[in-house]
Amino acid sequence: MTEPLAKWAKPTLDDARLARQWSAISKPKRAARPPLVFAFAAAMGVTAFATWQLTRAPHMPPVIVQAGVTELISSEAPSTLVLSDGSRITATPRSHLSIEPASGSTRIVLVSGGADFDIRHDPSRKFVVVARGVTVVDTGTRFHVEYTERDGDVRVTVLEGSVRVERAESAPSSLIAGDSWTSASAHAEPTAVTPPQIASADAAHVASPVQPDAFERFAAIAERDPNGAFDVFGESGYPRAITRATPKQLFELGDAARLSGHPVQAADAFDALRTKHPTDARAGLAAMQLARVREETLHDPAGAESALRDAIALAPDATLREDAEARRVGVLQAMNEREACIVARDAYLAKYPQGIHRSSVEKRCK
Amino acid sequence: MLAANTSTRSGAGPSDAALVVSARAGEDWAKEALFRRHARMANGLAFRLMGQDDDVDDLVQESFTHALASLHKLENPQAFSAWLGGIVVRTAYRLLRRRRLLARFGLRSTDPVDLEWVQSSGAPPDVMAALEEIYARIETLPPKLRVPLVLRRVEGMSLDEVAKLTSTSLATVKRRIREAEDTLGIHNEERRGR
Repeated sequence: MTEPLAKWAKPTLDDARLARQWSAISKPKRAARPPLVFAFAAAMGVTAFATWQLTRAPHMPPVIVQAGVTELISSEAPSTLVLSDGSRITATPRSHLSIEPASGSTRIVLVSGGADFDIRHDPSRKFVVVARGVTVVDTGTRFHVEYTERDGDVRVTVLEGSVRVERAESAPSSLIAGDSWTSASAHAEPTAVTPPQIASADAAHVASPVQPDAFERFAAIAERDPNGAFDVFGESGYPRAITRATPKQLFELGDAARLSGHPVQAADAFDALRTKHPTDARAGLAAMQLARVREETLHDPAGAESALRDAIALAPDATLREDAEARRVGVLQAMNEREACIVARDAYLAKYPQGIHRSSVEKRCK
Repeated sequence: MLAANTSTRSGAGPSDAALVVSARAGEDWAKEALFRRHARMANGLAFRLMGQDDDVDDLVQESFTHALASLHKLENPQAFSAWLGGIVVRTAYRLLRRRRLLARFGLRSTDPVDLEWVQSSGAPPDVMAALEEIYARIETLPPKLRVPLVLRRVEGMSLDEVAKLTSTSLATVKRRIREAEDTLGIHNEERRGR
């Protein structure tokens, strides 16, 4: 008996079970399980509260808003509010929203907590949610906006359709169904940077962006601190760093710039990798990242489409290629290139009949 | 030993390192690709550590959730599979301890593992006998003895690999496996041969 016993001890696994598991994994993380004694006490509390609620107010019908400013403040249960156009806003427990309908627009200020928005899209009417300096502009969709008081982050999750997220001093981001965005990862808070002390012309030269050990310092912190990594070179030093970087460093420069909220520098680094080192193993992935930055942050669908063609050609393997082909269908739709979109869509569906993007690709180009 | 099925729906996928890099950058497709690639390995390991199917989904879900949220801590992205295996093992320890605690308070039964899956595994008779020998009374072992025993005798890992995955010394692993085998009355060829 030389083979491990494990070969004969396996659970029954099918696609449905894997799908259930992935669904549970990809949902927002639940809170840590409390110790048993607290769980028991909590259960007793919940039972008592539920009993009190049932005897007091079994069901709160949605509030209908016609005009005027309305404050929506939920207590321990979600509260739903229906606007005159049929759009529904459901505030999560302990949330506070201010709804300001006006001619041609509806503006909602999320004061605290979070809410689900199911919006009837009307091109003549703008629907905007504002949360702590972040503006979410609906373009016909269902989405969730949440403000976390503890860490000051605003999180946007799109369930259907698409939204545009705007923030002062940042390029807007477009989100589609399944995308999430947080203010923490999208934009670093400005920090005070002490300029280097320059005592002489020689010292100034030593403090230039590409010091001999700059790439070492960059690599040491790139993964855990993209903001700090970006600051090793800074905006002015990035172009020089890109010209001197190895393919591996180019990829890391691109990632650090992207994660620290510098899409232009990220695009430059990824672009240099895909054009100067097309035979490098990372070139396909770099082209894919370039496409993503151009499409979502720089709003350059034509540039994204060009990068995606490279990603498809340079992809080292099938999964990345499949993802690039699926994304290209969406980009062509955004460019209003209907015929090319249909060709790309049909090609994807024929090539990947069981592809993981099939359901979204099928809906494109219509 | 923690070999993952590297095929994907559309054929061979990117390297684990490429997927980890993309997943760290927030690419959901890369996270799902990592799950699909390593789900069978994780489910198999979870099943063998728990000895039954009931807790496998919880263990796999908790392990992947933790792994995908902690990708920034993975020093070698190409070693995702072994790293995930370590997370499954640590999560299994926790679930097994919780199970024993619940059983102690009478909130969970202490029935022996249902060995029907051994009978229906299609394994040769000597393999079935070996599996039954381990799993018939495995519920009597505390997690600190049970996990190294399963990793060594069922997964077929080397003692070094078991020590690494359980974050214990080689001497401790040897002692715990010996204690587990003695408790279960398992015949050990290696020890006899010494």
